[in-house]
Amino acid sequence: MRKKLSWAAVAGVALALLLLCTPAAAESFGAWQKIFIVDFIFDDHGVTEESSGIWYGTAPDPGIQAGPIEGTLADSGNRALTKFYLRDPRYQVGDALIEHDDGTVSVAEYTQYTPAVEIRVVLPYSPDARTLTLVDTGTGTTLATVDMVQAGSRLAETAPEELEFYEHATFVHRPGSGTSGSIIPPWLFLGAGLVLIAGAVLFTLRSARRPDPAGRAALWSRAGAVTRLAGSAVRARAAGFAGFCKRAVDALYHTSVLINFALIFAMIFVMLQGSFVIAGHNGEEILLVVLVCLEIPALLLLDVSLITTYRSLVNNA
Amino acid sequence: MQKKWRINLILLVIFGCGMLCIFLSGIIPLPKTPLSVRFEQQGPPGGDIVFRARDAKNQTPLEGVSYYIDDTFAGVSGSDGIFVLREGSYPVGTVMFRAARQGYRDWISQIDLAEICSLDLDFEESSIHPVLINGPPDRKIDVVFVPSDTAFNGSTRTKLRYAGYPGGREQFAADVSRFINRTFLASPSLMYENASAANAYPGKFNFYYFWDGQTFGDAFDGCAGTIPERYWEEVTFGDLTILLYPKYYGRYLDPASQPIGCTNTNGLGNVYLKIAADQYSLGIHETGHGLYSLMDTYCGNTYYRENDPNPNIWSSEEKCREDAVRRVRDPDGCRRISDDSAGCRKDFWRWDPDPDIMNEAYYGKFGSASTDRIQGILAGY
Repeated sequence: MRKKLSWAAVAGVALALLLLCTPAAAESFGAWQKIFIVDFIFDDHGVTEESSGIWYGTAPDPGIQAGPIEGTLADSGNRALTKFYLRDPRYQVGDALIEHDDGTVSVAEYTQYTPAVEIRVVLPYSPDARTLTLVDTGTGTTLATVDMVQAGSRLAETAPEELEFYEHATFVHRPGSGTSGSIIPPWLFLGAGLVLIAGAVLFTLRSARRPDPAGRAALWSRAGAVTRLAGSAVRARAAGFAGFCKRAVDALYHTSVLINFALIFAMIFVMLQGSFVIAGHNGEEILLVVLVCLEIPALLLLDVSLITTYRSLVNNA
Repeated sequence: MQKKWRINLILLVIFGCGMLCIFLSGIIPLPKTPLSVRFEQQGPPGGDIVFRARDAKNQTPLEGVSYYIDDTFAGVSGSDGIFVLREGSYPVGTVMFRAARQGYRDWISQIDLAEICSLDLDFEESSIHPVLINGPPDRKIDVVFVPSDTAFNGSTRTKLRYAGYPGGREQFAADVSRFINRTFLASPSLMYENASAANAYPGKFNFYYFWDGQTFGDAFDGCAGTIPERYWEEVTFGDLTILLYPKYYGRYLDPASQPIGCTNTNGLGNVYLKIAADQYSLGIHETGHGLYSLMDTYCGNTYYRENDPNPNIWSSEEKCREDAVRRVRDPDGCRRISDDSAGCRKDFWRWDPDPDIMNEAYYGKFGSASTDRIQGILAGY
């Protein structure tokens, strides 16, 4: 009889060891439990639920804190699944140590009262949970009631963003499988936008080359090697711009600044006001016209080095 | 001229459309697949799914990753870091997917498994670093330390801001260990009036510190300071969080000098206190507030409330005396919380004899009443 019992004991121990060694047992450390996360706004008017939902993790022990606010997580029969107590979260209690001149030390209080605070309650998940109520035990007033069925059906808002998952994982999709998000990728919008803007600008530049019957002109220049400007070249090429000398020059643009959207807008608005734009091939052409026509524009947009050269040329002329 | 205006208007509209497109490219949501989508595997939805788990830091395969689908254990990765979810073994439609491994941050997401052929998961090291573990988190009191990148000089009333915790992780870990040893693990005879009951206390705690090199609290943003949301996302289980700052410099002059320690009883799971790393006695006092809900027993403009059950202050002398008799304590030990020299008098009574750590704050022990409350809490662990 004793032998049978000892065999039974050995078998029991072996079975227990076997159970302990299974992966499920090894993973039951408690790190992957489910929790309720409920956020409240606590102010002088009462307590308001801000959000509620589920997440994964381990809940704190609900039995540690003491205070005048009683919380109850209850099932459909209003039986308490979890009970806890909270202190008034509007008060933060601080302490300071005062060192007196005679070497003694005393404690000084430091209390911070905040009229409205956000508090969070983390509770162990239970599929049977139906309501969470907060009651002021001093007055018996129910401060808040949360529908935990709803809370149990959604992820907590405070959970880390789901997008993070996709940032770190690599999906391998089967052709035709759906993806969430926009059907048109953002780069297509960006490309289309750039093409439209470039088209509008190019067309404007092309049309600006045509003579303007109103006789007003602005000059458009690409960044050029201004330093190569020489007296002989000025004379030789000036003839090509003689036709424009009778026109007033309203503006000079330097195309190196075209990447600036604000300047693109400025250019388009100047043109819409009736100004005529001529695109020079380089900075030399712009400055040649200025030299030959002795015309100083009312608006000048050039980069710094070109402006300096322009000023010296105009002064010399 | 009218024709030119019309052309200019059209150009302006085209230009505007271009700008709108560029604007839209910045605000439309990204598709929830990375740009590195590969179509190397093909087949009908619902086939085998290959999960590859790697350590994010060194890209080595990660063994022992547990996979859960809708809270049901699905399997664990092998030494090659691979786990294959077989066709027909998982539900159709959106599921709650979790991949978890001790020491790493979980992967949690709602996904449609039918969309996936394989999934590469890089696991980042957990920011929660154990210091002393005595058991599972749900069966012990879990105390987590988080670093502050600020300190304070009381004499000049100025906040000191650092680029992280001075001395980095090594210094923080050393400060945490020293603080634990001088407070929670200090000799019970130095901390408790009833030392015999307290001998088993150290084994009832788990201690951790949080360090990711980027997340720091601000101990001097308000009384108890503030702790970033990133911390609370990962630390859901903390029974007490201690925001540890390097040092309180100078002398406290007035409220503008800011408190050295402060407790924020912010709900359940988010209770925290701040304390300087070298303030051990005041640390014990603040722990009395933060962990055991003990009340101050000194007289001042602080928060008083009879903290049932096992209170350390009572709202009437009668209640104090009745409790003392019931617990075989001398009822004459009950005295009003008052300070004649400061003209302070409260309608609360205390019993614990001085030096009472909840009265002096800078030295003393937890008296019998306080220890009863602590014992009442720790008995459950």
